[in-house]
Amino acid sequence: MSQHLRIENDFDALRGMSSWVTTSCKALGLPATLCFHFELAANEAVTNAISYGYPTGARGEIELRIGLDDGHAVLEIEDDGVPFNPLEWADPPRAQSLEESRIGGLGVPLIRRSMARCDYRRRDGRNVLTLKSPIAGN
Amino acid sequence: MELETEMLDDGITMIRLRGRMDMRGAQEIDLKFTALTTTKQGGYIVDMSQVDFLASIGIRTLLVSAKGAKARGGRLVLFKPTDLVANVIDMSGIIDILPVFHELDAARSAVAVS
Repeated sequence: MSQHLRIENDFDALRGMSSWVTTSCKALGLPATLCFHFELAANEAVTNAISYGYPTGARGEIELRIGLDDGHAVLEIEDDGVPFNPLEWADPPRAQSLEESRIGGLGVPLIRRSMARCDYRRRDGRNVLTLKSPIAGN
Repeated sequence: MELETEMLDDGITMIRLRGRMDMRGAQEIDLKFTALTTTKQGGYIVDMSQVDFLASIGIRTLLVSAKGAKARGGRLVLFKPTDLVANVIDMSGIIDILPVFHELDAARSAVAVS
């Protein structure tokens, strides 16, 4: 059983996407914390795809799929942007002071820390990010 | 997102945020929030209890204001985030530099203007 959503590479689509993620997760019976984590990871991943995947003005398509697989909830995010693997970005070191903290770069660490498993692959000219977390223990 | 302020005694500003601190929410309050926290020296307590979502862009807004407050000899702390939002703050690794308090007296002591 899985749910699909297709959106344009437009920041205005983020809220609707976010709401769809939460609703779909709830419909799959996922616990509240897991629903929230998927919503967070989806926001970060889709924001990155829109921000970095397309030249200015280029139209694109981002597809999201949520389903269950062997005791795990799986969110797959596929976009037709330029080849871009967000998981290659290294985790920033923990900031020791306000002066040291970088203002940007927090999105990918949030994806990694909120999801048990993250995988990227390039498939048929598209970026595919697969995020997975076990249902039990959340 | 919505923002309200209240001046507490001893010159501390309580800022109450309400809504989703995602891209749109952060944009809606960004100018006002930054202006409030960076134009004069002071202590700022940001009441997060009515914030039901926080993404990295929202954390960015908080960090920029915390930096601005500190640059002027003041301090900004977060107050009473929900468990889910506190978890985001924790996962972002900034909890050491954007402290979180659940007791008002402790928050006030932390930002007291000397």
